[in-house]
Amino acid sequence: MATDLAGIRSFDQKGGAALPGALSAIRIIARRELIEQLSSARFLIIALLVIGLTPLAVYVGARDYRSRLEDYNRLVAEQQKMIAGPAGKEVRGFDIGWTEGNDLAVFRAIRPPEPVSALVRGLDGALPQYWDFSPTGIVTGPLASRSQRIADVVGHLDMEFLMRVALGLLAILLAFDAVAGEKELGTLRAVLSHPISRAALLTGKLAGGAITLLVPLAAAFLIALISAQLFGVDLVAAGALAKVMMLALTAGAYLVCFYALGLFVSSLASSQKTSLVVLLVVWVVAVLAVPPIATMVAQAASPIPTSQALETRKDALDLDIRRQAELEMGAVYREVTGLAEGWADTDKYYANKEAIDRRIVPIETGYLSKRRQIIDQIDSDAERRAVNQNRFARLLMAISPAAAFAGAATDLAGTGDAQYAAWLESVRRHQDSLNAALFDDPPTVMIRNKGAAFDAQIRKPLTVADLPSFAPPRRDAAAVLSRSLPAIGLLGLFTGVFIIGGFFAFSRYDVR
Amino acid sequence: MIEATNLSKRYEDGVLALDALNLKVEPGRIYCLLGANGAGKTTTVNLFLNFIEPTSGQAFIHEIDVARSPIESKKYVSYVSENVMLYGNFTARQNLDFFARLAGRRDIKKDEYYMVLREVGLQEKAFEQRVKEFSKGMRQKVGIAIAIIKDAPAILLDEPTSGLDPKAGAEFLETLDELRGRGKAILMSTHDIFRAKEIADQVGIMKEGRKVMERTREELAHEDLQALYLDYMRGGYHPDEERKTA
Repeated sequence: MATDLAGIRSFDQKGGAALPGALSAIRIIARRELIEQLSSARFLIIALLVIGLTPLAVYVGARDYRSRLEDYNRLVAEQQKMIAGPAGKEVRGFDIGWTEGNDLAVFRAIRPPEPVSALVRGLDGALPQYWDFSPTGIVTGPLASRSQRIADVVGHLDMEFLMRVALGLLAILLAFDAVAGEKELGTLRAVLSHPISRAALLTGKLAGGAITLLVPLAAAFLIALISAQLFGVDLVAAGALAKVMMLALTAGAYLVCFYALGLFVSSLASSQKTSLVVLLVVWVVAVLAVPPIATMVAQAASPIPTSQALETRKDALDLDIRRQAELEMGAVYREVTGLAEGWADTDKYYANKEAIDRRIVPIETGYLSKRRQIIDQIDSDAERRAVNQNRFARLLMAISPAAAFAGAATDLAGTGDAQYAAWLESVRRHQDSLNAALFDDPPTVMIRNKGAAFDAQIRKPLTVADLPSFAPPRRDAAAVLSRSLPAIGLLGLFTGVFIIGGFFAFSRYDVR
Repeated sequence: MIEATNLSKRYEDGVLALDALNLKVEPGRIYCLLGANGAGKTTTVNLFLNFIEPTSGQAFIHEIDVARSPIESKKYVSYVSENVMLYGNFTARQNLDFFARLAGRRDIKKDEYYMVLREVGLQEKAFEQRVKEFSKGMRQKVGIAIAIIKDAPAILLDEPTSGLDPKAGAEFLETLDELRGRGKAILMSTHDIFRAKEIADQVGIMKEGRKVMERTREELAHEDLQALYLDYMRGGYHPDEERKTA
């Protein structure tokens, strides 16, 4: 049993063993964690599940995207045709939908679908296909995707879902026993009997866990990119690829966040059972419960009317005051032309145009001013309620890193709330431009003389080319990144808190 | 060298687990701490490994104050526990490699690991087997191999022979003897009076956190350790004896 270690080492009694540096110690721990985790059943099961579901999720997303793209192309073609027709050549500034020449759809702002929605659906299918602009304000078009009842109830399977739910679960399943489990096994004492600090040990565990989680993450995104190309969505194009890369990085940060949470809880728990139970409860609350509950509470606390209800209300109010103005103008027309009630003769108007216009323009201006005031009040009230509801929901969701990730992922994909807000901002700005250029100073007004009415052209009609064109919000990678910074910052804050908490708890952890 | 001077530990709940322990283990000597459960043996080991902080007094490994320089002191100590703690999904060689790297050894080849495993008596076929399939005796051998690879001048053993069959126990004592021959200072806590008498150069008996007796191998040649131990366990605290041995 003589053990001759002369060939292995010579121990220097003065200097002792060559102490592994902190980085070296971290690397040794991380390597062990990586080997152990990669060969564990829980890792293999969930990683294979995610990798297996990825092509399916992309197929569903790509099919939905292509369908929306077809609708978009059709709408654009129809609009181009309309602009080339009478409606584009003579814009009157009020809508008579059944009259081709008056169709305000020539101004329509059509929203193209986001290619990255094939990976992260977000709100892309639930937002309007287009917005129309009218004298009474913005008219919201139908939703881009038709309602999918089952999916709307149970949620959509996409990359964001797979990362948030499945890989988030994997992160805590890998971390729950990282400290408490090693204590029960006894290996924690064995490791800490070596010259390694607790900080280095926990850092090594964090690094090993993070690298482990990056394996299925990277594999899933690679498969997603390949699948998207196969299913006809080009995500390798520069702009889309940058978004996908940022999305993958944010998903990585989210997984590190949950792994750090797992280490934190494991460093507080005296047993791995307790750690697992606590983490599963936290996972259910953070991933599954908080987002819908936050939305429901916000909707209950600050309800907003539907856009259809708003438009109906605005139309009704406008109709009242417009009819009144038209009748007042009719009285002027009668008085100047000497015609009786119920007669409408365009020639008589043009014969007395100067005298009539001098008196009807103030009536028209008064009507438009009153209309703008009423519409602005309705819009600002709805906007205030929507902002409050959104702010409240975001505030409630801020307690969940999963909700922060969902926000960041959809914003980065260009399918999130921030993108919707950017579209609404562009649409509002365009409505304001059209108000100034057309709706608040129309070239044609309607004069109503009791039962009879006619259009009076008070200035030269405009063409679509004379009016400001719609400027859609930026959709490039830099723009989506800047919009998603608040959510990414929140995710970073959670990660920082969990890491610091984990180090603090582990520094005081009783390893006996 | 392993040394404790007036080493005490009182836990937060007020329990005095260790009361002014003084002991010294010179290089090339084996010191066995005997005592019932709760006597303070494991607390002593935990203090030498800085798993807990002393309330007062000092623990030294290789003349380094453990509480002041915990990481530095751990360069000079190997630790083998009652149930050797290994990573179940790793093989014996992989476990050895992991702990060797933690000890600062990165230059050891596979054959050298095999050599050490062979020397501690592990069967060849078990070298590349996952240790979760190992018996307690086999794990104990890997634990000793880890201590050998680290080659620290001090070795702490916490109930290392507990649950070992007679053959494994005898092999274990042989290995300890070898390590002593190479100048290691070995502190072993144990319940096993017979093995302690067989291997120890010094024996200390602990009771309720106090060392109540200490004898050298030479002194024990004329005394019955088992009778002494039972006497101390039955008879309660012997302050005169404790003073004599302090």
